Amino acid sequence: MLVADEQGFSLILALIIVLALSITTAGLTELVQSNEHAFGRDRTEERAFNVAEAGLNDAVSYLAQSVSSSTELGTAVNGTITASGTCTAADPYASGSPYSVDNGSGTWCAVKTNDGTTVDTWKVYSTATVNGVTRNVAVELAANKTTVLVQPSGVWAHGFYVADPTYCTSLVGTATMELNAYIAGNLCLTGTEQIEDPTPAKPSLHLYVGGQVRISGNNASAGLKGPPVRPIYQADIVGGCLKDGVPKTCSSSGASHIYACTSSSLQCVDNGGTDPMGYIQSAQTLTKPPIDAAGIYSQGDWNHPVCSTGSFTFDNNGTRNTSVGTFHLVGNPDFNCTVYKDSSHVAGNEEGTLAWSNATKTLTASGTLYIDGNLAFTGGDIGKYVTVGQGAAIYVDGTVSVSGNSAFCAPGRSLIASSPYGCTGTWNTDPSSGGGGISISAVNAGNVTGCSPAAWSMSGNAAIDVITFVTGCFSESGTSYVTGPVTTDQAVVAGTPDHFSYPDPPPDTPGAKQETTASAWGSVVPSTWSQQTG
Amino acid sequence: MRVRLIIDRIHRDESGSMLIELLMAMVFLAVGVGALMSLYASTVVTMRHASTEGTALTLAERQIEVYKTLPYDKIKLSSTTIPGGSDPYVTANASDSTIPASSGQVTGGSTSSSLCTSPSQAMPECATQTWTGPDGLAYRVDSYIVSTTPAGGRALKEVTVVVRRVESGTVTTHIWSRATSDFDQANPPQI
Repeated sequence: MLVADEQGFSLILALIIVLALSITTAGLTELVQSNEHAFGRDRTEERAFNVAEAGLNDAVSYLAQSVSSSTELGTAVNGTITASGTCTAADPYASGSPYSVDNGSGTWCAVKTNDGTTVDTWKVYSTATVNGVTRNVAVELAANKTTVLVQPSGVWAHGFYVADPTYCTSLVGTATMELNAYIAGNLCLTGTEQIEDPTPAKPSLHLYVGGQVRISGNNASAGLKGPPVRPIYQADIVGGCLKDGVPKTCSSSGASHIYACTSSSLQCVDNGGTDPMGYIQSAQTLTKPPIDAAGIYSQGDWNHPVCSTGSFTFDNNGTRNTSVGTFHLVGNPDFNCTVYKDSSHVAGNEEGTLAWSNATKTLTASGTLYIDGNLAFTGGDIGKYVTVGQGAAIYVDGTVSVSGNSAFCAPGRSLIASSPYGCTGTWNTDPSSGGGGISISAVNAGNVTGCSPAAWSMSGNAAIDVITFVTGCFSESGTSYVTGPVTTDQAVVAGTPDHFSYPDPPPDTPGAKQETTASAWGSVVPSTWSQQTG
Repeated sequence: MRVRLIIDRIHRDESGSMLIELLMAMVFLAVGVGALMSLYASTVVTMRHASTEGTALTLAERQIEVYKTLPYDKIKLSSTTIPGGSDPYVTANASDSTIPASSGQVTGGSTSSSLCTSPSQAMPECATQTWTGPDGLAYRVDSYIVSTTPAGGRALKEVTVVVRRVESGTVTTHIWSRATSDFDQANPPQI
């Protein structure tokens, strides 16, 4: 019976063996495939990690290029700050280009975590995804700050600067100019117009003319023909001299009517080196500094001044469009108004302050001020001013006009409060001793061209002690004059009895001294690099 | 009695049954083992594939790590090491635009191409390097360095490393591993 029962045993045994082998092989196959999948994930994670690190480099690139070192503490770039103080990145990030490397995509964001005098610290987060695998990395970067001082533009070293090389700067009437002058174009003198050295006993006046000096008549001259002859220190005339339309040798003073120092001039002392006295013909390039009206306007919340006394309108509608119309700086009802950089009206956030007292006829100004209108000094507009700090820069969106019987006197000068109005004394330009100055920049947003009318026009009897910057033409007539330096594109000049040098104009004046802070990015704060898998 | 005699005769007549069983079992075993052998072969291929990819990934990572340690101005290729003609280094861009073209790369290095064959360490200025991996197989590590400027940012250098196999002295077109990263001018970050 036992032998008979063994039928089919081999078959069953074979099936069992095959089954066992199948199970074993299936397990092995699963193991290999699992290993392959796991390895594939490792590979993808490595790629995601590289992409995320590329994101950190992109972040540093952006921060170094586009983020000011003056960015306020807590500011998030390319993201928003979360409750925990980190930041979440926008996607695509704010600069408009999605972040993509090696078929992976990512986002980064950064938040400023420390605002130091010499070192800023930013925490940078980067998230990258490749084939569904996400890697997050973060690091803290220190940016070493260095301050670079940019000296004032050389135009302010000249009392009178005219930029237009195609224009013939002219004096009118019996005007006498006693200023260092840089005239890129031609200089035209007629009648009895003269350029006279303010210190004839020891000549100091420099005259640069990029074009020609054109003199008409026998009484016009650069330097006084005397007797006695009173030369100017230096005449640098690049384009040559014309007398009554006939070319003359400039150094032949009798023929050209250009009287500059020579070695035989008793009162002239050559200071040697790079600033020789006498006649030279050396072309110079001195560019008029640009005016950044839009940038200055964006610095303040001009539509919402905070006034402790009275009111003053800097802007009517939040748009730079001369919305205020004609305004006056002096002669208003009392006011004391501060404009802040933005809607945060707290100490330290001020952009500028302007105040007027009728009792003392004193304007007090500080900081930078943008007034979206046309400035006018008209008959009876008289006053003096004081400044706080390094002086004040006032931007006028439109034009400036000054008519008869006006006076605006600088620190140290006294107001002549009866007609003919004016200022006497010496302008104290030193802020450390209570002095200072106001610069007024005529933006000329309406693009007034030509000199009649001019972007800055003066007539009648007026004396204005300001540092002047004009986009367009500066025009004086009558006995109306500015006593500070003038930088303009074209000019017509009248009587200039008093002039003061102001080579270091108030901050934010075009071409003023600037301190810029630069950041050198890339120092990792030790032990701040971190990563986690997504 | 007669019936019982017939049954006994049937029981005694087992000739050939063993042979039939054996044949059936062998057929089953042959089919089963054949299938298993096929699986084994597939597994061997898969494991070899994984091994190659793992080695290639190691080589790619080693190369990209070198650039992470270099100053920004040192991240460049030696132009003499960039292949021409129909080398996969040149043709890769045509089939995969994420791999940079062989032209327009950041060059200026001075490494001789002779130093890029079986070097003892990863060579940052070699556009191509040949390596023998720990698995005994030959690999070629291709590096591409291009300049790129993200929106709002300053110039970066983007490094792409591609690893291929060398079989019978010929570089294959299949890419076994690749790695890409960007490097800012602050690279390497000072710690």
